Amino acid sequence: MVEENLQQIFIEEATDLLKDLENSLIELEDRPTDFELVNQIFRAMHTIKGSAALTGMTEISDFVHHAEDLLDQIRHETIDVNPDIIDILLKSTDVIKAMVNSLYDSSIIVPKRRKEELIESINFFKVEDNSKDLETQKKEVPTDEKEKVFKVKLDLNESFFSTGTDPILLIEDLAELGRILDININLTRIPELFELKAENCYLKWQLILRTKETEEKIHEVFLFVESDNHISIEEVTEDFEGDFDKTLADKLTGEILVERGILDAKDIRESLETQNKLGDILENQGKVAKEQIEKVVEEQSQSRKIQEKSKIKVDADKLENLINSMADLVISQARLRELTINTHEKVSMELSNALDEMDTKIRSLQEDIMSTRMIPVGNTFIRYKRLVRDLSQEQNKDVNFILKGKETELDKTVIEKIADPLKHMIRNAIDHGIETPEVRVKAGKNPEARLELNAYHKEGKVIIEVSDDGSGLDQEKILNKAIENGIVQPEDELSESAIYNLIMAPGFSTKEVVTETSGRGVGMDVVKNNIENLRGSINIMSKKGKGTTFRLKLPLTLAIIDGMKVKVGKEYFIIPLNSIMEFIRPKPEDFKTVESKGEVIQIRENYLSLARLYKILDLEPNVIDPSKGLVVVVQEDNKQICILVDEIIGQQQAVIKSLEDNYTYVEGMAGAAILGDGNVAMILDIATIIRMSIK
Amino acid sequence: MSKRVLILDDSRTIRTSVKYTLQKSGYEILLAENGVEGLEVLKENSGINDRPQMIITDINMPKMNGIEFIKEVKKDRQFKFIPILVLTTESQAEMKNKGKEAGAAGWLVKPFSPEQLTGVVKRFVR
Repeated sequence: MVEENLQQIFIEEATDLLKDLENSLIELEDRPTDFELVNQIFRAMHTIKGSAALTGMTEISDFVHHAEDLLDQIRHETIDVNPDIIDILLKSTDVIKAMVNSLYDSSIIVPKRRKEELIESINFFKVEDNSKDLETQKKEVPTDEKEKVFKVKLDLNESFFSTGTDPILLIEDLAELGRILDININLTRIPELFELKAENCYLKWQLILRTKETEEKIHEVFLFVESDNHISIEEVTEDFEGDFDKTLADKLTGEILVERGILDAKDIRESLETQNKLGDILENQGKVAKEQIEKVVEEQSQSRKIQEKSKIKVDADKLENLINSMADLVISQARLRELTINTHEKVSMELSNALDEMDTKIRSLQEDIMSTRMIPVGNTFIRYKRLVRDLSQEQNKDVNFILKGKETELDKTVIEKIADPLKHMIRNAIDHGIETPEVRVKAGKNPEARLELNAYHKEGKVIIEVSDDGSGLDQEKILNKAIENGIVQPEDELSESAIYNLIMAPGFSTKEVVTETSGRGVGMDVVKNNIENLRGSINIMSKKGKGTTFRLKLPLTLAIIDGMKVKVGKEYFIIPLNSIMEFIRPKPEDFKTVESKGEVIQIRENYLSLARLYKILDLEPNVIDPSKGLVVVVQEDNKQICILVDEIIGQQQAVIKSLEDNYTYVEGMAGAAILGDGNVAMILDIATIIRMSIK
Repeated sequence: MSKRVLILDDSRTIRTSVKYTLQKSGYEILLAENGVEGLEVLKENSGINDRPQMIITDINMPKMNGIEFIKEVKKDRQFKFIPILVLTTESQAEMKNKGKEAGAAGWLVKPFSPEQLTGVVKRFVR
């Protein structure tokens, strides 16, 4: 029983580590001299080896040991990182993964042949037999020998500014010599405001510079100021591991503050005499900014943990429960608010004040809870590096894969659901969009193609773009194929974007050659469906010969939206607040019928199409004349229309319940929401309604 | 907006070569042949957007030499914070100090290469 548990834990841990390992290895290919990265990879392998040995999985630990040996050589610079080594390590990772997975899934077969081959290849790279126990080796990681780390102190005179010299330019000059790892400013000399002379310089700086240049070269930057100011330059390469000051761990906060030049030793002594918590005292005395203390304390703890992030793993189900309870709370709150409307006026005032207060608190609670599910898209994005690498190698294409906006956060469920669609689009881009280097050169393009994955926030939504500079979509080919497949009629007149959208129509496929990766029957229609199920939308932009961009627009979260409750006939609907531009009661003369556009409403200079919700959804309305009802002007993708409703009830948070489980997909509906009175209202999918009514 | 640099030198060769080098690096150049002219140019360009962001001056010039010029500039509230670079020669090493005492921000020893010149100038104006 105990063993079984241990094995389970090992499998989970190893799976996590292997995933990171794969990403780190891909990163390493781009940054072969990144020592911290090599160390990170080594640590991961080392952990897997240790845990495998501990749980009695000697076969795994033996094999990992080989890979670990290879990494150790990289760490000690006896061999350099090259694509072959990355390849061996990636393949080793795959073998380890198979070995780990075979522990619980007997259908997985460990590729024995490949395993032997890998061990052979690894041995080939071994300079000498490194059989000594790795545990006993002191980790002695030399930083890049050519680069040195210098501590530069600028203690400037009060009259410094009188020559017209700008310290910032000096620092910029310094930065050009290499890379500034850290910069601190000492504010202790700044006097009280009434004593402050605007022309004086009260500042001191301390910088940590990593550079290949000599100390003389650094002195040269300060040539003109060195004689009147205290400039000191000291080599501290020894104290650094990677970009990190490893000596911080053993120091007191005060020591670090002095060492960093944020404070002088006498400030610490003075402050200590009053015996209080040092950070608080210094801050109260205005000698340092709170952020400065927080920063060194933070760095110190980082140094102690050597960049290991502390996180608690929480069962996803528990989070799900938390969100559901949250949703129920929102409903109860709305219910309470509806009840107050019918109570006595005075009571109602007080109650509604209390409710308002509760509202803000629930909202912030809600944001906190939702944020626990928000994760950066970066981890998912990085996974595709391997895909791109493998595909481009396979097809002899040269692809520069660029990731942008890795830190953009998105709901975990959304990320999980777009992972496969994105994979499909990336495959498509490489299979069909990007040309071989020869073709590209002939077309006058850079032989290296650009494939970019970009995520960013816009108008309360997350946009994810997959763009390439490949051959672009061929309108004619798409149209012909669509006519051939009976999706459109030859006489149909389609706009450019409508033609592009055809590739997402069910039953469409222009693939002439089915390659190994794409063209397995899963088409863009599945991608489109997946995205729309998330209340998102997908847009295609393309230029023949220039490239293609797929733009996904996704909601930040799936659970709760801010909406406006409207009524048509006996039914209530929710319109998402961020689609609404304005509400208007049109005058009778503003309502017109134009031959090509159908019914329109004039709003200032513009004519907007009118959508009658009761027609689209087949309901019995109370209002048919637009000048008797209300129109809601909505916008999505820069297109605006008016939606006619009977009346507007009010703003409300709506808890979204998925329709899928109980109903079939209804066009124009994004989901259902439970209202305060317990009733259900449908949430309108504005993008679809706009499309339906403009068509 | 390009940065303005005022150059004072009685030698036409030096004026032209400094001007040419800095213009190539994108600076806008004002010229003067001596200290008196230099002060006049400053007065003509005293508007907040017109005044030079840096001055480069020779030491030995007729009418008003570089040191006196620096002292005059440093007296003027409008111009005192403009960094001034003095051009010296090896034979007058003590001029570096005289210049510094007067308030110069730095110096450049003649002869100098275009790279040396732009390297020093960008330390004061970017």
